[in-house]
Amino acid sequence: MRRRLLVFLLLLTFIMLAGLVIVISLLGVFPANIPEAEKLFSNELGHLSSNMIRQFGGASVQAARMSERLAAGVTAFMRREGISPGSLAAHPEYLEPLLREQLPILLSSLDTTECSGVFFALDATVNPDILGAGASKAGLYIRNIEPNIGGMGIEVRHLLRGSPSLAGDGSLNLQAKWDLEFDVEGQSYWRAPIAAYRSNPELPLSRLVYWSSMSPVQGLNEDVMVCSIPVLDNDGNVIGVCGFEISEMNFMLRYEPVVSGYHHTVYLLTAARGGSADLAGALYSGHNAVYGAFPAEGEISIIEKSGGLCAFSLPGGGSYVGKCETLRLYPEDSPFAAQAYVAALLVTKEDFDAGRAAENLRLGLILSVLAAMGIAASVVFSGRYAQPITDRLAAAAGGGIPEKTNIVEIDALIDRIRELHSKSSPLPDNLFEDFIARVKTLTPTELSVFRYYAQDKTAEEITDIMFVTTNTLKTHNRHIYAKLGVSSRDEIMLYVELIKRSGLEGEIL
Amino acid sequence: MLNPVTRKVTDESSGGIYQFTFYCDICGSPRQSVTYQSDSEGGEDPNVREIDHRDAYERANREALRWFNRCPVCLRLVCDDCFRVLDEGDKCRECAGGEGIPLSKW
Repeated sequence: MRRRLLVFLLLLTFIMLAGLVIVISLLGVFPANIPEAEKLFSNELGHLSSNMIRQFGGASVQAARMSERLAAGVTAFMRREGISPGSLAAHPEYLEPLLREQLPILLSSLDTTECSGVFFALDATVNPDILGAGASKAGLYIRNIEPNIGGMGIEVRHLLRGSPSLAGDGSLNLQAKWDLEFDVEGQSYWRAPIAAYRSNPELPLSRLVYWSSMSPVQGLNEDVMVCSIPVLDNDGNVIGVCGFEISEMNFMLRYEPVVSGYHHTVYLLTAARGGSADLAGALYSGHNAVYGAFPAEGEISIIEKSGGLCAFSLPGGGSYVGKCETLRLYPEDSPFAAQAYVAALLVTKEDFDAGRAAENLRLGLILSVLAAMGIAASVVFSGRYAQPITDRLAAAAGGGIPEKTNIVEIDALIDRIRELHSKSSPLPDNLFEDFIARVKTLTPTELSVFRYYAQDKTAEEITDIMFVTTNTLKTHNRHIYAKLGVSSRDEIMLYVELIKRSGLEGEIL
Repeated sequence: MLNPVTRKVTDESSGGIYQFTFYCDICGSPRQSVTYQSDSEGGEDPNVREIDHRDAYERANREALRWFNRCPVCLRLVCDDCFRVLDEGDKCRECAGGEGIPLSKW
């Protein structure tokens, strides 16, 4: 019984707490499921960023390998053609066959990465005599046709830089932005890695990878992230620069953010600028309607708020909430290690507040269901618990003997009822043996008086019948009471009645 | 006239007031009855008085039975002091042969 009562109390307590939490949730008083939101955003940001670091890191590693392969291929070609190292620029006639021979290296390298494009720019041009030839570099630039996840292989790709004859076999298509050579004027993808090598010739090739948001293809209607690395001959001369491209389409397909309860999330990668991030050249994925409103230039400020979430604000208006983290794309000993990038996962403030409200509502609904289940369970259990008690009490009230209930305390009560009930039944014979024995000790006169009493005669009647005075009768009464162990005529009558009910009146009357 | 319940009875009746005294058959201790008064309208009529006297006498005799104990042996009516309660049966003190004690001594 105690255990059942304890279950009831626990159920009641749970229902009351659930009800209280429901009210608090619906009123939005919950100290904001901000910790919950922060956890969701953190988890998704961590997931996306770790995948992105893996892609970028893989591209950096493959870029270094590709640089070595290209260097070996170019060196072998030059040796075969009898061109001395460092004099490639003086032999423009060899550039096209040289690049054609290196094309398979680029394509195979692209297949090993998850990138959208690959390029190789030689420090030489096919037209060294024209104006601006110093900035014109022969080379190859091949892009996958998206959507395509790198490594899955593709039969047709775009040729953006290189001889159009390379597109003759049908595996490459000339893209609308095609040009014969690269224009490296002011282009950091060309300048920065070469300058880093010349400043740090002792560094291994893997430390010379440079990332930028500047595309080798001017006028490309798409933001990209490009990693570039110098290609060196055996003597340490710069042959050119090679690298990979990660397009915005590639980024968008690969890093679609998913945060439960928030539908308009955006994930972005861009260069860090102190307490803000540079929107120029940023890569986006997620809800286009949100990041489509971001300006192409300017900075987005980031303020870390209590609870772990960040507040983002755009120049000219626009408030967002989310999480961000600083990413390092370079090893610590890289000449470019100071360059930091920011990855951010955010939603509009309106969406965030709506998400919180939806979460509160969902929590409230869940708790409502639990509370309803608790109430139903309480009703069922209390009914099942109380039913045997009320049934037995009704049976007892009706004069019957209730059946046992397997509830210890109630069964004890039922046993007592049975015991009392059995006392009203014919009593066992041995209960009056003593009294009967005592009656037999009465004198003949006393026995006569006793029997007259048993016949319900009054004292006056007995004196008339026996022709004795009241004093004589009183004397006999005293003797009778003493011998029978009673103290009044009523006790004698009670005994006589019980003996009659037992069917033993023949023993005394 | 009804025989009295005791062997000795005295009549103290006068006028319309009737009263009798009964005596223990052994010790002669008296016991006077209550007074009975004629309730008939013909209280001065001798015939009525005679009937009333007889009625009062009968009533007094019945009353006297309660004042005395009848010995089952000699059938005499005796007072409580002359009656003995004995285990073998109640009787007067003369029939009890001196056994027992008076009721007043119980």
